[in-house]
Amino acid sequence: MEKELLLEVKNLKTYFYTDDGIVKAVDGINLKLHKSEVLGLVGESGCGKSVASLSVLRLVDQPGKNAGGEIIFKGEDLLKKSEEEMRKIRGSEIAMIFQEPMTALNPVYTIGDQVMEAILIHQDVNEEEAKKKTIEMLDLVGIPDPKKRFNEYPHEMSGGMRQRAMIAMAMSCNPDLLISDEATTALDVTIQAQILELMKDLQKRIDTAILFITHDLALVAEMADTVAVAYMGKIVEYSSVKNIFKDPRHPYTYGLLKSIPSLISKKTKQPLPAIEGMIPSPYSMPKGCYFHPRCPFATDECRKNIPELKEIEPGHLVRCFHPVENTKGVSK
Amino acid sequence: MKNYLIRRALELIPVLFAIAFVSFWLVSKMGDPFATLIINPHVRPEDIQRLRHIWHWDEPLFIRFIYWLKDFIYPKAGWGLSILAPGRNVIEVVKSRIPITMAFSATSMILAVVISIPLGVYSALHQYSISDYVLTFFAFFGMSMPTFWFGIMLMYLLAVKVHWFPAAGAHSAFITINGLPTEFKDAPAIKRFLDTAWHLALPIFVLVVFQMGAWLRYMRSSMLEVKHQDYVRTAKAKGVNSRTVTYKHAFRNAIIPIITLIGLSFPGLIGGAMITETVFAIDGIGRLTFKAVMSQDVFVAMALITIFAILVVLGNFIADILYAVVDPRIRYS
Amino acid sequence: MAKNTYIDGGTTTSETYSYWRKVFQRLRKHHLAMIALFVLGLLILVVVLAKPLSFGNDPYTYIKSVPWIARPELAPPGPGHPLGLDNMARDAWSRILYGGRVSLAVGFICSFVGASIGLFFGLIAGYFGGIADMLIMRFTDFMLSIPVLPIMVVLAAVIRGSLAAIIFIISVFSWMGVARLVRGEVLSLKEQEFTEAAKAIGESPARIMIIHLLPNTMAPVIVASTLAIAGNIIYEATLSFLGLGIRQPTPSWGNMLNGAQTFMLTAPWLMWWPGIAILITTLAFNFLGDGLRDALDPRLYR
Repeated sequence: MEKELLLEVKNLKTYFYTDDGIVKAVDGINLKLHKSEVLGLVGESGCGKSVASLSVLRLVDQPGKNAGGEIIFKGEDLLKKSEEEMRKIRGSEIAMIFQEPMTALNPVYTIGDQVMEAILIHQDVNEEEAKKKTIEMLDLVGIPDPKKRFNEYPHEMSGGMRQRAMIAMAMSCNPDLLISDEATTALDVTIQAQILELMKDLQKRIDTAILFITHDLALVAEMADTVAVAYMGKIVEYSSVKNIFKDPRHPYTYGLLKSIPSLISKKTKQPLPAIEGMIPSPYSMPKGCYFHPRCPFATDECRKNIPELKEIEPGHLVRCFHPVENTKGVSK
Repeated sequence: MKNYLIRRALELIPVLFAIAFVSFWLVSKMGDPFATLIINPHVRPEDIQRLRHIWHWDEPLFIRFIYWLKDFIYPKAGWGLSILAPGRNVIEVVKSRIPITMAFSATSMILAVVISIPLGVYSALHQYSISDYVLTFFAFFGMSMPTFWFGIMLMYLLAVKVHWFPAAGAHSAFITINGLPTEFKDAPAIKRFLDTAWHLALPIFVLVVFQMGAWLRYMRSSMLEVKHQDYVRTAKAKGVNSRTVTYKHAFRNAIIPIITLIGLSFPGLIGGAMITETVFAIDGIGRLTFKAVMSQDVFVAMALITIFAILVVLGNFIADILYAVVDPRIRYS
Repeated sequence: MAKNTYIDGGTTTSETYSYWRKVFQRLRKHHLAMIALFVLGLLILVVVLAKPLSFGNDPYTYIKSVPWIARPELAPPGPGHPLGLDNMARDAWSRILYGGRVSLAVGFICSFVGASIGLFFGLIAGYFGGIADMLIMRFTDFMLSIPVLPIMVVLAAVIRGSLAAIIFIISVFSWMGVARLVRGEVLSLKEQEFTEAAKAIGESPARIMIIHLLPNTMAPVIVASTLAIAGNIIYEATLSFLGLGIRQPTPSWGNMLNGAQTFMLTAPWLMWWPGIAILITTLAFNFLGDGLRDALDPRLYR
């Protein structure tokens, strides 16, 4: 069943023009996200996934700049919109949750004020109604005693509560798309599970699509319908969540999966394998396939040319000259 | 909060006591305030002995200090004997000089802060623009300029070369009213105010430039730092317009360190006032301090330094209170 | 990036070397700081070469007569005396050159002494904590509550005169900032693994402080000290201007301005150059300090 296409990112490029050179943080990313679907964007830190998400909202700070591509949201290119049109979309149609609930909330305003601000901007309500709506939202995200919490400052709350407040803020205007940038990374495991549960619950209730960005494949398995794996600003593999875990074809995805302790090592009782080598410096990218210095299967071709993202089976795209075969059984 | 403030206030007392004692010891080292009386032919050696005894100058240093402190806090007999203004008590001498210093330092401070804050914000928002460079250069100029030389140069250029401003003093001796010279104290209040403002324009300008340097830099870097904070991004992500992002979300945070620094800027202001008063011959407590030290006027110097110390400590205290007022994260208990 | 990741305790020489090379690379892009560095280099060269640059004049010699005006006292600029003669008929140009030695020396030495005292107190307070920390920080607060200039003036009046006295007076008041800075750095470094590791293998506190903590606190100390040089030069000039600093006949930029106000009408040229010399020097140190701050703290370098 093909759902309505909500967001299509085509060949998006975001470069940082620093004094030390150009950093291609996002280098031609393609993403497709359907209505009320969850797309997981996975990669190591520094692979450009955060910048990609900020690029969608056009919130990349100087010296970062868009260097091409299209972001089609509900049929319109966000990159062609004026700043004022963009502002109206932010927070109402596309909302975002960030990694650090500690620093993402303004320390000098109360939680209530900050959630209410979003409502006041995007909805035609007066202050009293906005306050009522805010308290409803705080209640909905599971903040106990929301009337009292309305007047509390971020520093008076725990990390989990703050992230709930962030979610309340993001969901307050029933967005079509929620971008969650490592939203649970900074939290304890138990709190993390609660927040994920809450996000799933709200996603169903409000029928929001989620762009779920994380470095943690286990979370993707739990949350996403489709997965995009990013490496050095490019998507290297794109498939349904089932496929990725069952049949990873890109050596990088394969390596990532092998390094998840719960999925592999218990069975095989072998030492945990890690992907060898380091992420290359953004200032001196390797020639050819960006992954070749760390790839066990690299050939001369990989060292010379950059592979294209190719559909090797319906709905499964891989950017590799020599996709890994027979990986079945890598995971359960 | 209340308890904290009381505790903090109580903590300041030993600090003040220590500063007063150290100052007392140092000031006493300058010379014997009674020795200079010998040159006066009307004062007999017995009188000097008697005065010494009255002011406890025949006691050991610490005892002498305690007596002095008692007199300073309960000035029944005044604050001691002045050499600069013989026959007058130190408390009167000092009191009469305070208003003018207060007036022109407070004015300069308010002006400096009020001008610097918007300019600093502007500089940060237009980082690396021409105006940012101009403001930065101006700020460095203010910080690097020796105030006394700046004062002298302005006096030379604007008061001596072209007579736009008077060269010295806090007011004219005579003000012309209806073509007649009238003594300053008899002139109407508005005339007195205008005349004083005209006299204080240059010294205030010097102090404003001197203070603005630091404020501009602080405000600019504070704003720059806040500009890249996560919560500013959050605000943008929820669709807040850029004006509100700047003034509601960024500025409100950027101003916090500035407000607390205001309380901590008193020592610099006191030094600046002392120099400008000396250069422009304004009879305030700054110039009086310098004169008292030069003429070994121990009691006057002591009283003034203690007053300055109280101001500085009070400034720290105000900084503490303001910090709690502007930053909800700070809750003293 | 965490503040201390770029130099941690276990650095090899080559890592430290490349760290400082990076700092210098960043500094090179800071145009004003590079100009400042150049100006300071020039200034130091000029005051070192004071003798050959003095056109055969001596800063202490009273000139008996000059051909272009009747009295040599306060003579305007003329051949051989580019800045004229002061009120005691001494050559102003050579006094500027020799005065620069004094002003720069006072600035550097006071800053160095202040930074050393501050490092000492800051390391001890931060590393040991507890009573030592409380006592040192209380003392620092006490020093910061003193109205500096009035007390400096009193101190200068008590111990009048020598260069050493002035250096002492200024240094006494120029360590508190560094002490607080270092203490804060040490408090955060103490929590890091390399300090824990050094403790675990039984290194002595003195060794840990000097080998591991001291190098990691240098960056902010260097910035603070560079900026402090400017402040100290102004303090020296102010005290000397008030007649309480460097005493005649030794020239300093400050005491050359001591009589300037008096002779403003008769010899205005005398008050220009010492002031300009001070301004250029303090501006240069402030710009350099600012550039160093940007270069040493990449978080702010955008």
